[in-house]
Amino acid sequence: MRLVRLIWFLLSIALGVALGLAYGWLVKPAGYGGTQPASLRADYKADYVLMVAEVYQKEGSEALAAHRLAELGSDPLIRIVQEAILSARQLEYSQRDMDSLAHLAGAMQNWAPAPTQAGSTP
Amino acid sequence: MSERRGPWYLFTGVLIGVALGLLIAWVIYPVEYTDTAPFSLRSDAKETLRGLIAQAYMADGDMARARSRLALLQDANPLQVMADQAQRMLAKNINPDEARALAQLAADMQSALATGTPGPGEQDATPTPAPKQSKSKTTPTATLEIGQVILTPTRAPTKSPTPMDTFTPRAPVHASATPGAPFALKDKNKVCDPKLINRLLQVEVHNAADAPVSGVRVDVTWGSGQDSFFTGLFPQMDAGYADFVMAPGVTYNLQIGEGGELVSKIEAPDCKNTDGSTYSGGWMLDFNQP
Repeated sequence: MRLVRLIWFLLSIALGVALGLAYGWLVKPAGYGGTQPASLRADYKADYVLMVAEVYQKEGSEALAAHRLAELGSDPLIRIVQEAILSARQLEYSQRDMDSLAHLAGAMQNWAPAPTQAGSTP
Repeated sequence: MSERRGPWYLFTGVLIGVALGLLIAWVIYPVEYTDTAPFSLRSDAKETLRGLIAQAYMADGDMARARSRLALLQDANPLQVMADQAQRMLAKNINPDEARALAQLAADMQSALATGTPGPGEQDATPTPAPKQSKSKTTPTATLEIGQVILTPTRAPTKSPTPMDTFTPRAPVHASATPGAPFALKDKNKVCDPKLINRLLQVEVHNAADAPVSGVRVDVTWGSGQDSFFTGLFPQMDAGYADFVMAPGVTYNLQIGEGGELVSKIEAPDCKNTDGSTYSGGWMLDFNQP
């Protein structure tokens, strides 16, 4: 009798897991309120990077450009720009846009965040 | 004795299972979104993107491109959304440059709509690289490695002596303030119109060519408070218009732009109805640049 109860108990847990998974994956998945720029399709990401490049050409601030690019994920910034350039080539962006992207890529290749004032080591 | 406990253990099992299932679905293996479109972004990410679109517009002056980018966000009323975002940013004192860019883009789009003419940059715009699915017919990147992108960079504009066709000078983006010239008060008129909101302080800003200027910051201060807003945020008015509702019995100071003339001691004036009763009127301040 105890074995029968144990089996039913395990079955009820399995049913609960199934219900929880269905709710958490299908009904109300994580990130339900919307997605992040990092999940954008490659062509939208390329356009995003192009906008950053256009603004960078006007402002000339590597730090601001890096801050904006960081919205597209945790990959190295130079890689994000490189992937955008590849997409831009596929999508046949104009030469002017390709130049903007290349200009940004050059800046991100050499850019490094300013070192923060960490506590001095003894 | 244990048989008397009934089926509650089943309920307990289901609860434990649901908790485990949610832990797996939300924490251990959450749904990962890929290849999404801008309209599905979270609202804060949409605001970031909207601000970037406006700043890119300020950089390239290409309204067709800005318009197609904004369309991807699928806002019901893009002009109003941009104006609201600019006001919110200004109220919280977040990135005034971006707020100004949003206000400018909203005003330019509105004026283009009102006149029925193409917006700045639309006539000579280069084909917009509208986001689209990559073509499957040719795959030029098949042999291109990521690392090669920088090894074979496209010439940067500064190193290219050959002017390209897209460098054709564009039409002026919008009426802008004359650099360096502060705004001065040209006219100050009492407004007694019972149809208007009571105590409405209206501002009109024009540049030296007498064209309305949008995106100009207006600072209002009083006793212990202050507020700021931009011209050009009312789609139904002209690009140089802004207004502010005064509180009863409060005296205000107002300044337009950087270093503009300070207009002080502004109070809602008393007006009379035709039946002799009084109500609070407003002011119309007209500023221009010498």
